[in-house]
Amino acid sequence: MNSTLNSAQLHFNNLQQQILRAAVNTIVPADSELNVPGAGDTLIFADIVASIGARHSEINTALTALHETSVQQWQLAFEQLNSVQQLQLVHECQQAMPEQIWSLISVTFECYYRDDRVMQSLDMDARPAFPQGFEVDQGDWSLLDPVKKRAPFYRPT
Amino acid sequence: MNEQTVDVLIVGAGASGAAAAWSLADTHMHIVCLEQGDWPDPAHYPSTGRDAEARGQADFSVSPNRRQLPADYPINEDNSPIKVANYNGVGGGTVLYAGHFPRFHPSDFRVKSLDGVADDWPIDYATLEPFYQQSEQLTGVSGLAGDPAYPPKQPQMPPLPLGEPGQALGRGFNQLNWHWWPSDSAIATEAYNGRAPCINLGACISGCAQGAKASTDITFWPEAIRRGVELRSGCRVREITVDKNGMASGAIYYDADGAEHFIGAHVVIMASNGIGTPRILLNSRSTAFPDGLANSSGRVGKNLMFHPYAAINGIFDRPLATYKGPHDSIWSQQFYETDTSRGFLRGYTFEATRGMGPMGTALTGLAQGKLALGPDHHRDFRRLFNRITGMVAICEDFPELHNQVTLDPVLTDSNGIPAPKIDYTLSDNSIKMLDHAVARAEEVLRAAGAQEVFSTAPLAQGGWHLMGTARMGVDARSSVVNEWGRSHDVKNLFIIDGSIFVTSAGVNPTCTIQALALYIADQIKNRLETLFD
Repeated sequence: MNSTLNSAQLHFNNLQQQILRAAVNTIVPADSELNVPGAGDTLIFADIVASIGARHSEINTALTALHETSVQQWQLAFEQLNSVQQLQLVHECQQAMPEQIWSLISVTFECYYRDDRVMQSLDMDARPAFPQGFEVDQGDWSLLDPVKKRAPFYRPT
Repeated sequence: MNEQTVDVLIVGAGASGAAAAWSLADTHMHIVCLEQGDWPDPAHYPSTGRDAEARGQADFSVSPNRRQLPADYPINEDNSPIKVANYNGVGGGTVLYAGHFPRFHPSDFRVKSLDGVADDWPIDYATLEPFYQQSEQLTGVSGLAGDPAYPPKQPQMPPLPLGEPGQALGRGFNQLNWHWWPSDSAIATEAYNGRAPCINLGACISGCAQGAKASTDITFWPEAIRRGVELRSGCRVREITVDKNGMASGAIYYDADGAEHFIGAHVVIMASNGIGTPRILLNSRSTAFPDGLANSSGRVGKNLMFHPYAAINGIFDRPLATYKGPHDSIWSQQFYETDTSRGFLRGYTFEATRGMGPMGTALTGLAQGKLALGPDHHRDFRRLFNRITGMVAICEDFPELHNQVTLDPVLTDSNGIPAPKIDYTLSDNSIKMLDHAVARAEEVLRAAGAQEVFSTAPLAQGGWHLMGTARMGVDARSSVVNEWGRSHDVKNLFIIDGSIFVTSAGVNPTCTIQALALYIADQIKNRLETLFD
């Protein structure tokens, strides 16, 4: 099994992709009440795989740890565990290898929170900021009135 | 090696190099600027895509060690709790800064006389004031006249909008009867000198695609080039050379293909920031200058100052539209001037920061232990997103000889030039100031209605301001340049960037860096006939 989780590989093989998908779905699961997908959703997952880039080695180390710990503790592959067990293992590995798990989590958040469905669920426009920009209220400038009444307080030299 | 001799060679095309080039263009001298990076391309700034937040942590990260672009040189910063932030390209740090554009205060130039610490500057506020005005006029500053924390000054444009976060914090400051004011910002709120007004993209520190934020690639440089200055991008200087009389004779540099060149110059101006300038000077060793160029005082690379930052945020119980709008908003200088009862000398500025996008919210929430993974993730996230706002405290740092830039004995850049190595520790004064700032910020956030408050101090990736490593002074034994920027040792070598700061003040330095560069360029123009005496 370990031989198929070679950290020198530039792309994830099928087994690695299965673990990765299960891991990102554990980190951000779907929520039917909010009507949002999990991070393992087909579109989001494809974005995650495409966005890993320079983090490949760290994330592969994290996946290897998830897999090996799972086999060691439960005699099952990570993706075969139930969601409670999977989350427990993610937390255990987070303690053991914080940088690698942080890379996994950061790429998950990065791609999840730019998905159209997720952004719309947050009342965000599913578009780049430029060129349309955003409206920002001027606000109540009378709030500054008491400060305007203060005497200068910079130190003379 | 190609050989060419120009009148003036400027090394670095950031805030100071651009300002000096613009000013010296008046002389019609042959001026060449070498810049190791390229021109930024606003059409590809992160805010033009859906991956803006991710790119802010990657190719538009403020950390050169994270970006690792061809123009970047590595920095050994293992021995520093504060990591360097910069941008290597035309515009320099102004491409990735937030746009805060405060002046120093009069007291900042007199800290030894007033408070008995560090040193006084050899120049004062009044000397720089006309150049502050010039810097602001050319940059285009939004703000509001009448700030009681400052001598009178007049911004060019109305202030940036308060928005919901600014209003919330303004109410908090008012409840405590503390000072606050709209920030002076290098962000156009109206059309200004060909620049479009801000449309609240919210990604100022990843480059402004709108062109509302003044970075010198779109302010000083186009006009300097129109007036005859030559800017060569992709040219990395290895060392400044000297002639048999101990005068600077030019520079050896590498072009983007790695080919080595020499350019001769009658005047050399260093404008490579508080890390890059000492790096090049220390790497410019010769028989006449065995410890590095202009370093008879031993002060090149010493006295490195950052501004230790604290970031303090509150979680509110209502949406505040925190991801919309520029980072700049309001500031407070309630704790700027010295009050010895606080247990430290000098002070700091609070700068409100509006908020974060969804990715930033999620990562911050996780790092702060306020965001779950798994089934509770969505509940926690919705409690945080669009509801976190706060401020940073930018603390005055003091010059200390042990805080320094040296050349790393092993690490090099892609041209084989030794990388800079940073050794830096927080002073006791800075630690006390950070603690004070965190406690006061929590008070104001609670007064503003925050339900929870969390903080980070010092901010590790907060080394935006690089100062003090080739300081200005009248005594050649303890300073590198004189009171008008000329090297004590090499009479045709000038330094104009943050390296020459004597002290750091408790505000962002860009306005002062540009004002100093304009002042020194003005001195050069006025002293041309006796420049090398």
